[in-house]
Amino acid sequence: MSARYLLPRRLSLVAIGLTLSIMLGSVALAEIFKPNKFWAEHLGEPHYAQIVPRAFGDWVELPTAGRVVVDPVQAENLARIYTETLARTYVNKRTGRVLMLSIAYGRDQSTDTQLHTPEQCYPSQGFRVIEETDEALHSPYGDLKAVRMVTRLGERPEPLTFFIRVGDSVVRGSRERNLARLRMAVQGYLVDGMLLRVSEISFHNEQSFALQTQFIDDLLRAVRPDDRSKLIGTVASR
Amino acid sequence: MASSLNQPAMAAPAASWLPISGDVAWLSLGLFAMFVPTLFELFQNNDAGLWNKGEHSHGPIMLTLAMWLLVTRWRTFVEQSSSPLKGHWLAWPCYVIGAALYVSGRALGIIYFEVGAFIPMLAGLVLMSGGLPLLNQLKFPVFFCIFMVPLPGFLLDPISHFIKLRISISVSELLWAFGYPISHTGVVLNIGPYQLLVADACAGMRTLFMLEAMGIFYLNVIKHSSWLRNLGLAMLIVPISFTANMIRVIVLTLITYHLGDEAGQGFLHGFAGIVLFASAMLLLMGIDRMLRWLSTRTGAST
Repeated sequence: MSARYLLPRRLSLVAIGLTLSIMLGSVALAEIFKPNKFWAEHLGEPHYAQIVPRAFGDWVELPTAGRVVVDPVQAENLARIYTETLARTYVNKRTGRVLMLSIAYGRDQSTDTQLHTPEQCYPSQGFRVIEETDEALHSPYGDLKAVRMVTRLGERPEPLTFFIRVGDSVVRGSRERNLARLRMAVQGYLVDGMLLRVSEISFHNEQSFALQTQFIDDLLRAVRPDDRSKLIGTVASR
Repeated sequence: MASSLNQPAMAAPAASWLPISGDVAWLSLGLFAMFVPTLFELFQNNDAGLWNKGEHSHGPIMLTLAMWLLVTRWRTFVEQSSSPLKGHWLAWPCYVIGAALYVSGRALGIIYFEVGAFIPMLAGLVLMSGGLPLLNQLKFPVFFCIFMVPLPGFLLDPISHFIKLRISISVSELLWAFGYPISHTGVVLNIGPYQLLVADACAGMRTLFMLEAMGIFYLNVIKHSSWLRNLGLAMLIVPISFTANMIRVIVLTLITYHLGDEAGQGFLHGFAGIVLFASAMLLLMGIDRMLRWLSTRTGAST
């Protein structure tokens, strides 16, 4: 008799039971729907330093004699955000023009460790963004949703082209990136993400953009088909 | 005779045993089953452990404050046992909304859905236990839980960036006026031979958010009678936290300039964090004082 008074109940057993089954049911449902496969494993872990050839088409890597001084704080941040980063400088054998290639790769994009786009990081390093246009690059492997930017640091002009792959497709903008992430999650995959950026120090924007497009084309042609899907996904753009 | 003796005996053990009734204990178990894994993940020491990282590390403090308020106010709740629970059925839609948020958030990795689901679930639990009168009493702690929800990046990043840029500009202009060799490019400050990056953790959305939460908490606990003071303080928290952040960046910049890079990044970096909160609190209290003085003056004159 007295045991009843220790924890007096007033609600009906039905109400409590129904509440508990909603609560526990949602825990179970979440577990069932939760993606558990890494898209990176499905692709085969990309190692861009090996995928991207040191010489292809008219392009040869320019060996940098003295390494660039790296800010340790920044290096630590990069390591936290990205699984792998690649920065190379290529010279065109015919014209002698120099392009900078930068690839940032994050294996798991399902949390907030998302790729930082040049739209954010160029201004925070003191670059002024003079112009920004969405551009579909017509590659032999489908259209790529790329972004072109004209930036300037003091007197240094740096036009650049970049695109982002999330999981199986190239997407543009944070909304599309999140939608791609959700679409892959529904299929049961944890997405990876890659940002490829090509830039040149040049005052001639149009010429530079044409050369950057050429570079991306040459690169996509030079890599093996299954490596290509690590650069632009399997359904180039949506 | 027997029944009149029985009446207090029924109530007394329940009150001393647990401040909550058995219903609440059962419902809480379900709530724990849902959110203990979430808490565990928020606290873990990797990239998913948001509460371990700068931008979101105010979460546990917010949760503790909300729960403390919830428990203390729940205990003071006096029930009108004669009337049936009013608005009791409203618990069901709350549960459904909460469960939908929870399942989609957890399955698709949308953390602000997952943590946000705690609010409707908690509201449902409160409604079920005491109906609308209880929810009315506990609405502030339930609302306060919103401050522990990690903000989504699409909201956080642009605002953070704006604040950091503004702070960099103001600090470099101010110190330049005092004759320091300082300039800024974007959010990078150049002072003498040093280069300082105004990072997210230094002066982002987090401190603003946290100070705003603390301010609202302060206002709710103090319960000023004067509307001028309440409203004034709530609005002034934004510039206060901006100023406090600026003071912190100035302190760090000067430490680095005069004592060297190691001092600026080492022990004194933590010290600057204390400076931030101390200056924010002092500013808040100072303005509170001023507003009190103003309101008593206007109160006296009218």
